[in-house]
Amino acid sequence: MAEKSYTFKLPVGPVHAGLKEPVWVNIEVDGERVVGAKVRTGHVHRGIEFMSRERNLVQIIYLAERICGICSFTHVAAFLQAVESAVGMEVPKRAKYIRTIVLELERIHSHILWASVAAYTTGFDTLFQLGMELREKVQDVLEAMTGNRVNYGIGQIGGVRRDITPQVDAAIRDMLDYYRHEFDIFKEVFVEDPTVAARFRNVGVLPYEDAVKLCAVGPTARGSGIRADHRWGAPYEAYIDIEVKPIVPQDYYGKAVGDVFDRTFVRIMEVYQSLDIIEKALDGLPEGPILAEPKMVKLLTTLKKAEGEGCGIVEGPRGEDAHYIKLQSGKEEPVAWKVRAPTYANAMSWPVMFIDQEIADVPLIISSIDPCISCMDRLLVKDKSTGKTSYVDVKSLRALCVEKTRRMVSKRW
Amino acid sequence: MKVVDVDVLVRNIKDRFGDDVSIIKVCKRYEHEFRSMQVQNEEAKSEKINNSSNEEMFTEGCTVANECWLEIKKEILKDYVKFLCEYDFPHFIVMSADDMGDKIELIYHLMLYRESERGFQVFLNTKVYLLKDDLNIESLYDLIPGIEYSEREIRDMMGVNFEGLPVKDAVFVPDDLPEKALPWRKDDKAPGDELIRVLD
Repeated sequence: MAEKSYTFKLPVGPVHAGLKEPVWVNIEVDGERVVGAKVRTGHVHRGIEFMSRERNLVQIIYLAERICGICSFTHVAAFLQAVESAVGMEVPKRAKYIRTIVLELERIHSHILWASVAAYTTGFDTLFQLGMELREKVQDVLEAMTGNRVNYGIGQIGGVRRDITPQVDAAIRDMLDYYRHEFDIFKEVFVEDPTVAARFRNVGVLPYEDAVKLCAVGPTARGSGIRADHRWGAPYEAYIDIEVKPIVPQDYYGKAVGDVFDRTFVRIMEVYQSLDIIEKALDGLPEGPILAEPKMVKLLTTLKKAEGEGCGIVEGPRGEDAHYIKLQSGKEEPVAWKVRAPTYANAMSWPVMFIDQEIADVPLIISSIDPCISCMDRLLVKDKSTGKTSYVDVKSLRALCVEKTRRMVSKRW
Repeated sequence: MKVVDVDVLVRNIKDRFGDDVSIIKVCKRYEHEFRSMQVQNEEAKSEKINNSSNEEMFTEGCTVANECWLEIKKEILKDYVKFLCEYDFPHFIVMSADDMGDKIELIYHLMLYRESERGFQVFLNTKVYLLKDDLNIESLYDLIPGIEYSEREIRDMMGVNFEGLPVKDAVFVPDDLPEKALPWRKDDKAPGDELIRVLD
């Protein structure tokens, strides 16, 4: 008689419309414990690189912007850096500062959104509402500055398309004051609250060695204690003038565990860091033009004549985002364009994080590297011994997660 | 970690591998970039834009970014990465590929000194050329496990076979894609019109 297997397969995902990087995680469970995990991506591989073959470089900016709705400017900035380095174009200093400010504003809104979603996943609905309210302020500032709440359309090869007017300057400074007063409550809950600590500590641990070997990036890497931040390791834009130190948990607690708590902690502290960077950038905003070449026809002619290749790397909210571009003289469209979004690198760490965790923690672990939680749309549960198949939707999975928090709280008090 | 300057590193690579390695260019970004300040009139500006190799004007302050482009023969790829491991764990960023007619260009974007100090990261964009009639190359999976997705992606998109890669499932392309269709190729193996759907 063949040995009876009691493990279950839990395919989480695969896809939900409007996702940046849809992922399907195939989890093997033994009872409540996760014993193995397999990741399958590519369900909404839109072939953006393929689409670029029929577009000129200025058109591709808007294509790059649509790779991701949350860190859209990160992709634009990386793409622009790649093109500018291939063409050898020098960006005016004022434009560099404006890019930095937009990048940091984006980081603030992304991190607050992430923390809110993590709170929602674990059943802290009040905290979720608070986070959403906090995030409105930075969204308003982005709208005032660029005209859009998402997909800002502010990037241009050789500079930016919108300047910072005195009114926008005042709005940003007002936002800085607002966050310095209001964000502390949010931070306090995440860093000091015992329930959050009970739920986040020692969950989804990614040890330092694994993070290095699997080439984890961004807050996922820093949460595991890797002192790496692209804004510090190879400064670009205004980070050359404004020094940024990587935030790692060992500087605060003496030791990095690499769990969900550490990744949350890194993100929360980075919001404060971003506020400081924005303030420094506003204070030191140089005068001058915002575009190297304001005439579009001339710019396109220059780009058409250019030959070479370039690589642009930007530290986005989720980690380093890399773009590679290759241009050929006489061709408007690029010969090759490669995009590496941060989740591409971080998704490889998932299997390590899942091992020996409970199913109720799966949503939290998936969200802890900051992909979009809506990829958890549907689950297929297959009972190997009976061959029975049933569906678990995101609601019941979240209910499991919320229930675990309740259970822990009731035990404590 | 053995921290050395990018020039020393490049020289050491050249000494170790000789003719198997050719250095394409070494670019540096300096603390005080003042090229835009010097270019005042329109003529000079367009001249500068067209001339990307002009680097004299960058030499102020200490370096904040080091980028090196080099080309290696495919036989020494593994030795090359092992050699880099002596200095620091090579952080793998991504692999790009381009169909160049009779050969395929693979570029391994690697990074050294991720954790050393400010402005010390070194990017090594390493090119390897594969002839189309022999699309086999050693996998780096045992040295850098984080390379897995990229190798699988290039396999899906370009049809390159990585010897020693344990999992060879598709990462991004759908499972029902015809086996011969390789989306990034520009020759007869590229997906034909029947596979391309134009969305309005």
